[in-house]
Amino acid sequence: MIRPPLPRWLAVPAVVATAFLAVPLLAMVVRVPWSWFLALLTTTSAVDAFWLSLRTCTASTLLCLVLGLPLAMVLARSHGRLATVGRVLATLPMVLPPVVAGLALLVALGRRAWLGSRLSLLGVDLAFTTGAVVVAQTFVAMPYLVVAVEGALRVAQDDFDVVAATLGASPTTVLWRVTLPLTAPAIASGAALAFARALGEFGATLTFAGSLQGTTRTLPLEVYLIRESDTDAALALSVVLVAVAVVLVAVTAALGRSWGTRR
Amino acid sequence: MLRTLAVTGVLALLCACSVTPTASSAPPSELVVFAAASLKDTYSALGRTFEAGHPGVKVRFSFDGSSILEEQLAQGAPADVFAAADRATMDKALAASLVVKPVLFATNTLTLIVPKGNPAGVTGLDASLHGKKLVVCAAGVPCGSATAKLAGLLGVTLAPVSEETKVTDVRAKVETGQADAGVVYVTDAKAAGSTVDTIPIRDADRVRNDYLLGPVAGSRHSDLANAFVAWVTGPEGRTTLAAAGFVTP
Amino acid sequence: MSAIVVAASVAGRGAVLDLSVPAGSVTAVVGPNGAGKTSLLHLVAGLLAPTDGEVRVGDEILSNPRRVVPTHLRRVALLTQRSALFPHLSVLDNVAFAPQAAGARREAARERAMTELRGVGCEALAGRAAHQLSGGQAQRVAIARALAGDPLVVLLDEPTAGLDVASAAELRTVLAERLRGRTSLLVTHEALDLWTIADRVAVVEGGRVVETGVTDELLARPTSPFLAHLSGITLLTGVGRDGELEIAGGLRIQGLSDAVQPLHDARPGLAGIPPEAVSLHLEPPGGSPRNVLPAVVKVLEPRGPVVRVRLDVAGQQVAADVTSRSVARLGLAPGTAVWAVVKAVQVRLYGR
Repeated sequence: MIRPPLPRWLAVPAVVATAFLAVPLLAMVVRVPWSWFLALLTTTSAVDAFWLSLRTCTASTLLCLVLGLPLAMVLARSHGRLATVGRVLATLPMVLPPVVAGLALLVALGRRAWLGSRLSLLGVDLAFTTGAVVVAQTFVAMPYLVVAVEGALRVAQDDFDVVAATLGASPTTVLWRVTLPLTAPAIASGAALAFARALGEFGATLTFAGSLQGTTRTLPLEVYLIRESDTDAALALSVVLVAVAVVLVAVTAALGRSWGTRR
Repeated sequence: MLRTLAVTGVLALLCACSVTPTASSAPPSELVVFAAASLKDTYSALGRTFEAGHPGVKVRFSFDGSSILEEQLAQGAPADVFAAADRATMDKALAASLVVKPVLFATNTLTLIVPKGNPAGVTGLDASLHGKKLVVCAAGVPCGSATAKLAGLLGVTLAPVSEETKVTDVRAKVETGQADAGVVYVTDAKAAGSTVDTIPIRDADRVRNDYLLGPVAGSRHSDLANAFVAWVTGPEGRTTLAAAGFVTP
Repeated sequence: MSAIVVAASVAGRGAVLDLSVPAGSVTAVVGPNGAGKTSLLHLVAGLLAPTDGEVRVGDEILSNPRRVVPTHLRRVALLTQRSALFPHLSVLDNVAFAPQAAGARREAARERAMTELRGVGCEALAGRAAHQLSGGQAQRVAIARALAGDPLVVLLDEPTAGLDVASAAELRTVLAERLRGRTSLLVTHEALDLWTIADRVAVVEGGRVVETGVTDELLARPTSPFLAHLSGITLLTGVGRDGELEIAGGLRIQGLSDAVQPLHDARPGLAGIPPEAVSLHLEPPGGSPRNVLPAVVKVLEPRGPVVRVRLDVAGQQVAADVTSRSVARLGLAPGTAVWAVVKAVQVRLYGR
C-alpha cells in the first residue's frame, strides 16, 4: 500500500531535531583524545568505577525484576482509583529530578530518618555502602521496567491466561508457563531500559550514597569527579557510557521488533 | 507554515542565547563574573553593594568549580572577571593568558564539622574518628588535596566513607546526619550555621587555600572589571569576606 | 462423563438460562448474536458468575451466587474460534500443557499429547510452532490440546467459524469423531455443525433457552424462527437409499453426495437445498434428472426482488426463492398446491 505522503516541509524540523540530538554526542566523540583513549580508561579509578557500575546495575536490574514484575502484573489487572494511584506512584521516579529522588531516599532511609534508623537498629546500615547505590538505582530504574511490562500485558489481546485456566493450569502455573514466557520480550526490553537508567543514575547516588572509589563511585560519579581535574579522561569515560547506552537501546529496539513480528 | 517554523526556530535560538551572558550582546554596563562556587554567598552580597555604588551597572555571576570555569574561559566563554578557589587553577589560567594580573584576596582553612550535638563523639582529626563515618573532598579537587596535605602534616591516616566532588556535598552529608564528621572549609562551617558543630583542627592554618581573582584578558569592560577587583580587595570586600569566615591578606 | 445442568441468571446480561446437557451428549447452542450463547459457555467455564441459581457438572455445584469454583479446578475445556495456541510452545508442548499442569511428568505428558495429536490427524505437526499452522490445523491441534486434559465437559465457541469450506468440513469430521460420547456444549451458527457434530440442539434467544431437543427432530420440524433461518439452505432429513435420500412419504431426493461426509445406505442423512435452486410449477414438469416434490405453500415472505416461499414437503419445511412476477403468474398464496423442482446437481447429500 502506498500511504499518502507527509508534508515535505516536515523534513526540515526533522533534520534539525536529528542534528540537535546527534551533534553533542558526535562532538564528544571527536574531542576524545583517541591516541591515549585506552590509557585514560584503564586507570585504577576508571576500572573500579566500571566494575562497580556493572555490579550495582546488575543487582539493581535484578531487584527491579523481582519487585517490579509482580507490581506490573498487579497493575495490569487492576482498575479503579487505587490502581491509578499505584500507577502514578510507579512511574513518578521516572520524571523526578534525580537530586529530588536522592533527597527523598535520604529522608526515608537516611541514618536519621524513621525507616533508616530502624533499619540500622536491625544492623542494616545503608549509609555510604554499595547497597545504597543499588537502592538509589533501583528507585529510579524500576519505573522503566514496570511501564514496559504493564504496557505489554495490557495489549496482549489473546486470552491465553483464560485458555490456560480451562486446561487446568493454576494461577501460578499460568504465570510461569504462559504469562512470563509470552511477556519475555517486553521484560527483557524493560530490563535493558532499567539497566540503562541505573547506569546513568547520578543525582540520587550522589545525594544518598556518597562517592568512594570501588564502593559507591559509579561511572557517572567518576566522570563528575575527574571532570574537575581532567577533562580528557572525563570525555573518554563518557564515550564508554554513551557506547553502553547505544548497545542497550539497540537491544531494546531489536526486542521491540521481534515482539512486534511475533504477534 | 515554513515561515512560521523558521520564525519559531529563530525565536527559540534568541531566547536560548540570551540566557548565557555574552559580552557582545550585553549592554555596556553589564559585568560578568566567573567565580568559584564557594564564593557564592559573599560574591552575591558584594555584587549587590557594587551595583549600589555604581549606578547603571549590572553584575552577573556564574558560580561553578574553579577548574570548570577555567575550562569554559579557555573555550572562549565571555567573562570580565575570574575568581578561582585555588592557586593552581589561577596559574593555569595565567599561563594560558586568560587573566591579567591576578591578586590574592582571601585564604580559607579547613575545619572539622559534626552533626549538631556531635552524636558520634568526635574530638578532632584523630583516633576518635576510628569506625566513624568521615566524609571528605576527593583528592582531585582543591579542598580534597588540602585535606590530604593537612592529614599528612598531622600524621593522621584518614579512612573516609565518601570522597565528594564538591565541598558542599560534604557539608550536606554532615548536616543531614548521614555522616558523623566532615572536613570542610571554615566558610562552609560558618554557612552551615547551627545545624553543625565545628571542631577546629590543630595546625589547620598551615594549609591555606588561596583565592585569587583578576580581570579576564580581553574583557570589553576592563575598567569595570578592575573596579570590581578593587571592590573585592578593598574595605567593603574584606569585611564581607571576613564575616563569612575567610582570612583576608 | 457428567451431565451439565445450568439453572442460573446473570443480571448484568439479562440472561436467565436453563439448560440440561445429558452426560455424553453433544448439545449445539444456536441463536442470534447477543442472545446469551457465550454467557452460557462462560457460566459453565467459571468465567462468569451467576447472580442467581447454580451451575452443576455431575453432582458437583460449580457455581452459585456465593461460590464460583475457579476455572482451573473445573476440568472444563474451552475451544474458541481463535485456537489460541500458545505461541511460545511447539504443537506437541501445547497439547502436553494440560497433562503437565495436572502434574504429569514431561515425558508422560508428551506421550499423551502424541496420542491426542494422532486422534486429530496432526501427529506430523508435533514439532511445528503454532504460527506455522493453517487455521484448520490450528483448530485440530486446539481440540487435541483441550482433550488431553481429560475434561469432564468440553465447551466449543464457534470452532468452525472463520475457516474455509474444506477445512471446516475436515474439522467437523474430527469434532464429530473426537466429541462422540463426551458431554459438550457447541455454540455455532452453522447448520451443518448441528447435523454432523451435535445430537441435541438448544436455541437461545433474548437470554433464554427457548427450545431444546434432538437435532434430527428439530431440524425436520423447526418450530423456532431462528432454527428456520439458521441457514439459507433448507435441510431435509431422511435415510440413505441407493445413493438417494428417502424422506417421509417415500419421496426420494437425488443429489451429489458430500465428499467428506458421504451419505450411506440405510443410515440417517441430510439433503441441503439452496432456496434459489428451487423452482415452482403448477404442473409436474418432465425431462432431465430433477427432483420433483409435491408441496403446499405455507408462507410468502417478500425479500426485495425475490419472494421467499415457505413450503411444506412431506411434513418438512423447504424454502424457495422466486421472483414476484412468478408469484403473480402462478397465483401463489398460502394453501396453494405446487410442484417444487430442484436440479440434482444443486442438492448436496450428507451422511453421518
